[in-house]
Parts: sequence; C-alpha cells; structure tokens
Amino acid sequence: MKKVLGLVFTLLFVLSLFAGCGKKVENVAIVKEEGATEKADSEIENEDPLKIGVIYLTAEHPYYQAHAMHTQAYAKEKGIELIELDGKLDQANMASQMENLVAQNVDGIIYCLLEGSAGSADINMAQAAGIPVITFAIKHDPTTANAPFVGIDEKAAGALGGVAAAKKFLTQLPDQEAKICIVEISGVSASTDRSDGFIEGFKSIIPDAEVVTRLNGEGKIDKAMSVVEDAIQADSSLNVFFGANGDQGMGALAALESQGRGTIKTEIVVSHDGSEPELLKIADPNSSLKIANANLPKDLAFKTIDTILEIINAERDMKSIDDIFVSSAVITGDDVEAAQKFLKEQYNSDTKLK
Amino acid sequence: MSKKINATNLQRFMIIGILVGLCFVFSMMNKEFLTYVNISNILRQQSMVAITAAGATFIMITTGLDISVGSTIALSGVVFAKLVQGGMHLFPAFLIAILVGGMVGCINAAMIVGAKINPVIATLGSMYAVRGVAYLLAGGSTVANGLPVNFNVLGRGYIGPIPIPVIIMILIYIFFHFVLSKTLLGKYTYAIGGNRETARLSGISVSKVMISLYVITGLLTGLSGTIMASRLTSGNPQIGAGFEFDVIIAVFLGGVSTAGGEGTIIGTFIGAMIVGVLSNGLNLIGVDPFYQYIIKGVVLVLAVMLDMALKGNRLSLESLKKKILAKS
Repeated sequence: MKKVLGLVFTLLFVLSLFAGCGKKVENVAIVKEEGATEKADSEIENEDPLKIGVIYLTAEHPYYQAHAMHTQAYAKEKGIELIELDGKLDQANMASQMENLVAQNVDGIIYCLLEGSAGSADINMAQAAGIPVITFAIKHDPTTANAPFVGIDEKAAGALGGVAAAKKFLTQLPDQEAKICIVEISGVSASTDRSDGFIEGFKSIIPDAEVVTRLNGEGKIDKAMSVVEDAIQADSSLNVFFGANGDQGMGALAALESQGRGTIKTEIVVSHDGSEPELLKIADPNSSLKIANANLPKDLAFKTIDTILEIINAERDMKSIDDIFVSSAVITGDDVEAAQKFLKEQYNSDTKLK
Repeated sequence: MSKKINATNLQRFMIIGILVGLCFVFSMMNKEFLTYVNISNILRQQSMVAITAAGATFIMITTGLDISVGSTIALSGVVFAKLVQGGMHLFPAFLIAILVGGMVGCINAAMIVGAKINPVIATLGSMYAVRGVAYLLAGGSTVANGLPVNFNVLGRGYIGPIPIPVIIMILIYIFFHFVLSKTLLGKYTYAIGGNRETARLSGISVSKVMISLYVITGLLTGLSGTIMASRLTSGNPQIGAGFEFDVIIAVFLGGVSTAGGEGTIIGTFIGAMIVGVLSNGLNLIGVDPFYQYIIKGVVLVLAVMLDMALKGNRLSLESLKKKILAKS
C-alpha cells in the first residue's frame, strides 16, 4: 500500500514538474512575441478573443442556469471567450475566484455578489489591475467601490407583484382582511428588498393589510415549508404569502397544501422567479399560487455582456456608478399563454403548462 | 459502576426534562403549541431527521460518522420523482429510491472500512459527489412536472388521524430499538464503540458490522428522501442542505457519547424531538430568525456540556451534585 502511494505521489510530482515547465515555455514564447514588432503585437491581439470572467451567485438555481445558458449563447455570438465560475453562495469562495480571474488577466469581470456590502475589496483590486468589473443582480456598496451595476430594481419588482397580488386578493377574497406572511432570506438585502417592495405595493392598494410575520425560509423549499407550517399553526388566518424567491414560494404552497389549503378559495401565494415549477402551479386553476414576479434571464444576460463590452470599448467609464436596470415581469394565472411564451423565451423550456 | 448507571439514568431524565420543559415553556407562551395539529406537525416535520438519525445512532455509537445524509436525501428524492415521472408505478420507484440510498451507504462503507479513509473525509467526499449526481439526474432543476396526484400520499397522507411519515417513524424506532437492545448486531455495535480492538480480538467481525451499519443508515436516509420528495411533491436536488447537522445534533442530544460505546435509540428520538420542538416553538412565538440561530447553538452546546459533565469527562458526577446543592 505504501509503495503504491509512494508511486502515485512521485508520479504526481513529476507530472506537476512537467506542467510547470510547460507553462514556463509558453510564457517565454509570449515574452518573445511581446518583444516583436508593433504590427505583430496588434495581429496577436486581434487573433485573441476577449476573455470575460463571470462569477454566478450559484449554479444550483433554475434562474442562474437559464442566465448562464443565455450568457453562453450571447458570448458565442459576440466571439467572447467566457470563464464561468460558480460562487456557491459563498463570499469567501467568490473572493478567491476574483483573485484567480485577475491573475488570469481577463478583459472584464461580471460579478454577482452575495451581499451588497461584500466584494468591494475584490472590485477595487481588479480595477487596480486595470480590469473592469460590473456587478450583477445584487448591487455593490457604492460608498466603497465604484462600478456599474446591472440588475433589477428589487424593491420596484416586489412592488409590482404586491400591487397585482392586492388586486387579485380583492377579487378572490373580498370579505377577508389581508394578513401577510413573508418568507425571505433573512439578512440578504436583495431578498428583504423584494419583500419590502411587495409590502409597499400591496399596501398601496389595501392600506390596512397587516404584515403578521416575516420568516426565514433560507431560500430553500424544504426550510420554507417547515417555517410556513409553523406560521399557519400560530395564526391560521394568514391569507397572503410572499416567497422572496421561487423555492420559498413553492415551499409556502407545499405547507398550505399539506394542511388542506393551497386553493384559490383559501389564500393567495406569490413567488419571485418565474421558474418552471412555479409556472406549472400558476397555470393550475385551483392552486393558490397565482402570481410570480419574474426576472428575465435572457434580457439580463444580454445586458451584462453589453455593459462590460461598453467599458472594454471605452464607451463607459469602468468607475461609473450607473445603475442599469432591466425590467421584470409579472406572470399571472389569468394569461397562461403569456406564461408559456415566457417559459420558452427565457428558460428555453418546452414544457406544456396546460 | 453504580455511579455510571446513575449518571446514565440521570442524563436520560435530564433529556426528557429538557423536552418537557421546552414544551411547557412554549405552551405557556402560545396556546396553539400544545394542540393535536401542532404536535402532529412537529412529529411530521421531524420524522425524516428522526428516521435517518435512527441509523446514524448505530454509526455514532461506534464513533463513526456519516455527513453525506443530506445529499443522499436529495438524490433519493430525485430518483423517486424521476422514476415516477418516467411512468414507473409508485411502489417500485419507492423501493429503488431507498436502494439508491443503500448504495450510497455501501460506497461510504467501502471507503471507510475497505480503504480505511477517515469517516469524516470519506462521507464529506460522498456528500459532494452525491449532490452532484442528484443535480445531474434532475437536469439541474426541480423534477415536478407530470407527477401523479398520489405522489404526495407518502409525505402528506394519513392513516386515521396519524400522518403516514409519523407511523413509519414509529415503526422504524420500535424495530431499531429492538435491534440495538436485543440482537447481536446491537451488542456488537456497543462493543465496537467501547473498544474496537477488544471487539476484534473477541471475535467480532468489525468490518462486516461497520458495513452493515453504513448500509442501514443509507437505506433509512433513502427512505427519508422519498418521504421528503413526496411531502414537497417534487424531486429537488437542493433539499437536505444542513440536514446532516440536524441528524448529528439529534443523536448527540439523545445521549450518544462523543467517545462512543453509549447511546440509545429512544434517546435519539427524544433528541430529534427537542430539535423539532425548539424550531417549532421559536417560530410559533415569533422569535427573530437571527436569535433562533443563537438559541439553537446555545442549547446544543449546553446539552453536550451536560453530557460531558455527567460522563465525567470534564466534571465528575459528584462535583456536579455538589455544585447543584451549593446553588440550591
């Protein structure tokens, strides 16, 4: 056993030496090319495609999978080489990935932060190395880092859903007082902003609506289901549920269904994503999930690539603090055809909703 | 010896006391707590943790560990949903999904027993790998489309007034209580946990027992995965994140010694219920989520400190008695 291990380690050591030497030779070749004529330099530059790094918040979510799919397609169309990285919802992991991208001397970075106040040091480090960064989906702290932001206005998007939900509530449950339960990721500003917006929008139509509880669904369907089961046990009169992402909306619905509720006669459930499982429920005429705020992964993917290209092509300053918002949509059960079209265009899914 | 028996009994009473105390406090603070529906909620919510913890109890008595259970839950759930979505009847799909859990247990055992890899490292590796397989099988998203209406019977159904997951949990606990207390497998488990080398020298096939225990835990985790998928009416590759910690907490709270060789199935059940009652009660009385993290952490550490104190690792039973008497 020891001999085998010894052999394996020796082999790995030798391979790593070869790899190291190989890289060195490559570097030497580049140095030689750099020392050549200006014409040759420009020719080399023209031959090299732009290299853009993208750090996604997570690869484990339908929205980001769709976003990545559209980013890849659009980058291919533009002749861009992508380096895609999974942030794994871990800011420390993302910081390491930023260092690696800077070390690879990419032409630009699209950076999806976990939290607005985090990541400023990474942005400043990349910019100091001459690499433009744009943040995406979750806005960086503009007091500590200057960079453009592409995303949706979370609060406005939440408000849009809130208004639609309140109108639906008035037609669906006209004799009841609105009692709201929010399921969000506590401590994550993008999530709480959505919820705040939803409440604001809802109250603009029904001012005396009461926010009874704000629960931590941790962004997961199973966690959301458990906390909502507890909440409806504590107060069975809750009749408006907002999940600040798709999984939390679905978790709330699952909890209600398991208690014999979850129908259009018992409450309204609103989610935020517009993923396939949500739309399947929205299209079900009996389900209480009737509205989804929907981010548009295709539009957002295109806008992030366009914005980073604008900076690379000197059409926008890398330290500009522009907020570039892409509108979101509200999908309702009243127009299943529109939901079907959305699913195909944004998620490239052929699933039949009806 | 008598001191040790007293300490073990005292610890059991303390655990039951903690559970009863929590129930009392929460029932005083919220009238909905001690209702049939809420108790049934707690039992149903905790049934998956408890079922998995029943298997984990055996492993942890032998000082082993399986931290891949959260990912195995996700994989089994996805397999169950995917097979049913593909047109398979519920029952064979249910059995295959459980067997998939057993297979993960088998792979863990091969790494730990065969290749002698540390259990933490081996199951940490399988935790990542199994989660990846779950994502690949599910195509990266939730398997929800085309599932039959009766897919949710296992997770949401009732037999009489009792939820099906609770009935399954009770049957599992009766069976494994018998296995741990009355069969050779149970005796071997304690012997290995007490002193592995002595167990080996006394003729116990430590490897075979350990393989059995990891496979049993895998099968039980697979069962929990199918219940979870049925409860959510979907196979979701994201579920079960942090599930392993709930299981470990339940087992430790239930009195399994960190040094191995001690612990009971009933203790684990009470441990799982303490975790469930704490979560449910804090939600019911509307405690801020950030404070919930703190409270859960403090309760766990206090319970383990109590365990150490009663087993004489830090404080002798006598010194604890003296301290209690001095304070009273």
